[in-house]
Amino acid sequence: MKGLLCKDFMLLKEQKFSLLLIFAIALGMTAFSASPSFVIGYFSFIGGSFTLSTISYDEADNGNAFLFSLPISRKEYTREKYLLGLTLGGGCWLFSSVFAVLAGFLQGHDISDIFFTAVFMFPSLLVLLSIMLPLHLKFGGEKGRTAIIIVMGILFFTILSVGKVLQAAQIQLSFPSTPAANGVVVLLAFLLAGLCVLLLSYQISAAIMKRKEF
Amino acid sequence: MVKLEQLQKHYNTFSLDCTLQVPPGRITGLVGQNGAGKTTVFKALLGLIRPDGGSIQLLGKPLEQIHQEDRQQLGVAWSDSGFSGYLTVENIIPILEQLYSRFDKPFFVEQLQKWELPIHKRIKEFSTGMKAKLKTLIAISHHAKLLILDEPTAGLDVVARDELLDLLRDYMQQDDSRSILISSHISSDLESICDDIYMIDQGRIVLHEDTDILLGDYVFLKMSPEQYEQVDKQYLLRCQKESYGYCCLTNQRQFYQENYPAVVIEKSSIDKVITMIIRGERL
Repeated sequence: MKGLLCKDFMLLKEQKFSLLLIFAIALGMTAFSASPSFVIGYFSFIGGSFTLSTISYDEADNGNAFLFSLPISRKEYTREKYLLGLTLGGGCWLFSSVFAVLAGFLQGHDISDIFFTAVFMFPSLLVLLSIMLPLHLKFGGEKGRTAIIIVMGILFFTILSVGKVLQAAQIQLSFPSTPAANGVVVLLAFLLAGLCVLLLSYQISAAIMKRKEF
Repeated sequence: MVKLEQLQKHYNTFSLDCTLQVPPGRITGLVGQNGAGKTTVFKALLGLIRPDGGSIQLLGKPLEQIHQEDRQQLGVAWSDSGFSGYLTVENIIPILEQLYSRFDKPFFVEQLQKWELPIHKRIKEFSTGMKAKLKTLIAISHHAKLLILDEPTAGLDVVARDELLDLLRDYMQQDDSRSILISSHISSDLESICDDIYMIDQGRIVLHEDTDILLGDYVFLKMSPEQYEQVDKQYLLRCQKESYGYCCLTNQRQFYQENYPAVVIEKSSIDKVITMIIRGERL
């Protein structure tokens, strides 16, 4: 596992220019956007999807044949990709959430809104990883990219719709006596659902990798 | 070390049916044309493809029982696969340190310097020869018990090829129980290093012989039609009609030398034997 993580971080290090560019865009978007919370989603998903680029690197030039000749099991490889996705996506989510809250505070936005979005974004990230990782492992870089575009589109509209529904729900929820508690329950349910989907996704990915020939 | 028994793998246009063995302390060569099935054998042996039949034993265990700890004992080099070209040798060193508990960094670095392999350059910018050297170096730098080398000399010039073969000889001398399974479509590369050689053609092993016997006892008999009619044909492996009469391959040089002194006997090379085995007519 350590060897694989080391390899992937080395590969990411080679993409430091792209990473810095994304950081810069994220910072710019937060600083100048009317809605700093947008950057949380953008940055988290981009961070998570960097895992996919490591899968593409592994596949390039028949690289998997060599990789799986090393002391690495297919299960371990799958686990490592999920761990990497969580580390990169989660790291970016945390960084962008803190940054968005700070920017929101300085710009005089409603911080509770940004905070709510940030917390909601984490299970969304889990779902995104859950969909993209098995797709990428199954179809590889080329077809995987098409799948990502489709998934991103679906996810965008889903988040937009869910966001609106929640916004409406929040107005209603402000009426009862325990609005915060209801909000927490909803978020916990989302988080739990996200974790379940991620676990299921891992099982699917492990089965995909087990059947794969190189 | 390696035992393949009736290993089968079927594709649309290709079928593999292979039995092969690599005992401890031996260097075994697998020779065949491009597309003969050498890489398929190696892939099956390493569990990269699922065989359709037969059995595979690696390091004395059935392949299904080979775990990560066992894979520490393997050193593998592929002709068309390796670490990502976006990595540098400098990047690879910590990866190998993490992957192999017995990674010999001083040896690795010393060999890098000896072969003048740049450590800060991306691998994709390496020449074919440099890539080939690096792959073999990665395979031998963690004191593996078994090396599985797929065309390690491909793309190397004569000097580099000799250096690499010398390195493999040194590797074998360090431990009597080590083994190497090495493939090449350039059989002369293997003549000087292998103890025995398997020839594969269209997915089937067509010949297995000790290299000494292959080079010493396998000869070509060049005969006129009259001589061909008279000779005892029981030791003729393959024959081919030529303008002067017949050219036949035998592994009984002495028999024909003693009994048919008039017949022209020509020494063989592994390449010539392969060609005859593939193209010649079986009697």
